Amino acid sequence: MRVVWAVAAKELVDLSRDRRALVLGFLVPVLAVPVMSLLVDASTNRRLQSPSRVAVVGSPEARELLRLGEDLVEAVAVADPKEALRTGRVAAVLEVSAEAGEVKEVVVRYRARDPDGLIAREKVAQLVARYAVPAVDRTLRAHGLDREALTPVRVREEVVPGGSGWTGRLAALLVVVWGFAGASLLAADLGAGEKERGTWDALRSAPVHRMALVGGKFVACWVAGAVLAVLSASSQLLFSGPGPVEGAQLAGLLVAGLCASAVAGSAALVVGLLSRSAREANQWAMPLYLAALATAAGSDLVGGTRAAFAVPVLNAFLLAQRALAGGPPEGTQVGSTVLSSAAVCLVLLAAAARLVDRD
Amino acid sequence: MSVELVGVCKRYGRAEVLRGLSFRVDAGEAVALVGPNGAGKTTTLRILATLTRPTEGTARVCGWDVTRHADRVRHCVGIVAEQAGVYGRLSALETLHYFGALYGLDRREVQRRAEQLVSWLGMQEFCRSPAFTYSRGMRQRVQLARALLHDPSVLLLDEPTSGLDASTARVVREAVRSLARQGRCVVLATHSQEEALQVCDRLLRLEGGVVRDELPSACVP
Repeated sequence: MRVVWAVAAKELVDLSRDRRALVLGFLVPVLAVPVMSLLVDASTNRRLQSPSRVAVVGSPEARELLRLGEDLVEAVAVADPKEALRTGRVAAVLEVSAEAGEVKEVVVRYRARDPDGLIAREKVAQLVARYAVPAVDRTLRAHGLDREALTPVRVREEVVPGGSGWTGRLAALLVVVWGFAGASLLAADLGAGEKERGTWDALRSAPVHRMALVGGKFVACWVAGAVLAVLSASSQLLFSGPGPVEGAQLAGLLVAGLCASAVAGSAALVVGLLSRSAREANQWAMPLYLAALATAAGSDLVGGTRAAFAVPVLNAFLLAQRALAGGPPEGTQVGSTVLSSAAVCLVLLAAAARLVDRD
Repeated sequence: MSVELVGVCKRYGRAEVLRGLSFRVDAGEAVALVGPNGAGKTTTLRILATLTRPTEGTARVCGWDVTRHADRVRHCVGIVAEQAGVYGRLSALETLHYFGALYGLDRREVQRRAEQLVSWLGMQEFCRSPAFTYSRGMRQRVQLARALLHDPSVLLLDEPTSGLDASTARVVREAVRSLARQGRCVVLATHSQEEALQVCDRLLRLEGGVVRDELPSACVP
């Protein structure tokens, strides 16, 4: 154990003196992501609150329609509405047709994957409702009815605190991704970097059990990854979190970060020991990051089945998501995540130990 | 007998680097492996340091087979490789303490040995500074100190004075001679016959992975 701690301590001291790594590896993710999410929130709010820019084509009755929703849409005069929509000058084009002085149909054209277009569509729907409701009321009154008669079932909303929302999902993703990235970046350097710097042979010539040597490097990567995961998730929660988080939820997050960084650290150590330089190791590690991201992004497809909690990285993401969504995760989910991550780590570390003596 | 190779072959794929190399070096003896690039000098040292395995034949260090008892061999051997690097953000003393822990020495013993080596190799002025500030000569002294920290019986040196200025090279050569006089077995790989003559008792001229000539240094013209 003395060797494990000696190697881990040396690597962590080395890392703590690397100012560039500290800034790029810790400060940027911890500050940049919350700042980025605040900017995205501000931008989304601005889009939702300001009127959508639309081009209007059709009958003069459209003016009456637009007058009812100046807070929702802003009519923009354009020579070619199709071109204006294509180039993004307007978020939507409205084609309004009327009969007997009343608007009868509104065709909304918008770009399928344009968020501004989707927002414009919703606002036009609200606008049309404003226009239509008085007419409906008039018709109902003419038949001796009121609006209540058309809504026999009432829906009442009660909002309670909780739920993680997108910010929580982002925090869960960050726990896994930063834990993964922190551990794997360091691990790639600890294996291949030693070779590149010419210190590897001196280390290998020492009478040290290979598993202890690899174990020490793994501990350093694990600590770095876990610290990064916890810091980034904490800063995300602090800046724009889903509200107060309980101790058990934080423990769930911590376990998720530890599991993700453990798997990443051991996998990247293998990659680092197979590579001849840190650059080569990072090139090989890139598919690992992408795989981690894809796994986390695809978590909704597999859901929270028992089998999903046996898949490393995916289980860490699911665990973090559960912890943030609604209280502490179940014991079996935590157990399954820890055991499967530990098993994968041991296999990978054993492989790394064998690679130490590779020619 | 400290070092013995019998019929050692080493192949990397189709390339045969050593072809039945045999020689022995006793305790207190300094032997130079000289020869052109690709003669097999570095590979021989790497086999003796357990950094690579022989494809055929046997190599023993202090009586231990390098393949079967690699861990015991590592306790007996100190190696200074030609392109050896240092940990840039650690000082020489921190590096020595790190390797002391790896060799299983206790802290007081490491401290004592480190002080001796720092003084002997003239490292007092820079031993507490981070190694990225060191010159090539300073780094080579750190390597030598690291290789000697656990008091090995066998010292393996690969081009230890390559790229050093004359005065630093002299310090290293004197250190190597002194170590052989203390009873250690020294195997030195070098391009320079002149250096081999200054430092060693015997010269083994390697060519194509075998020993072509073996001469006491006094007999070399």
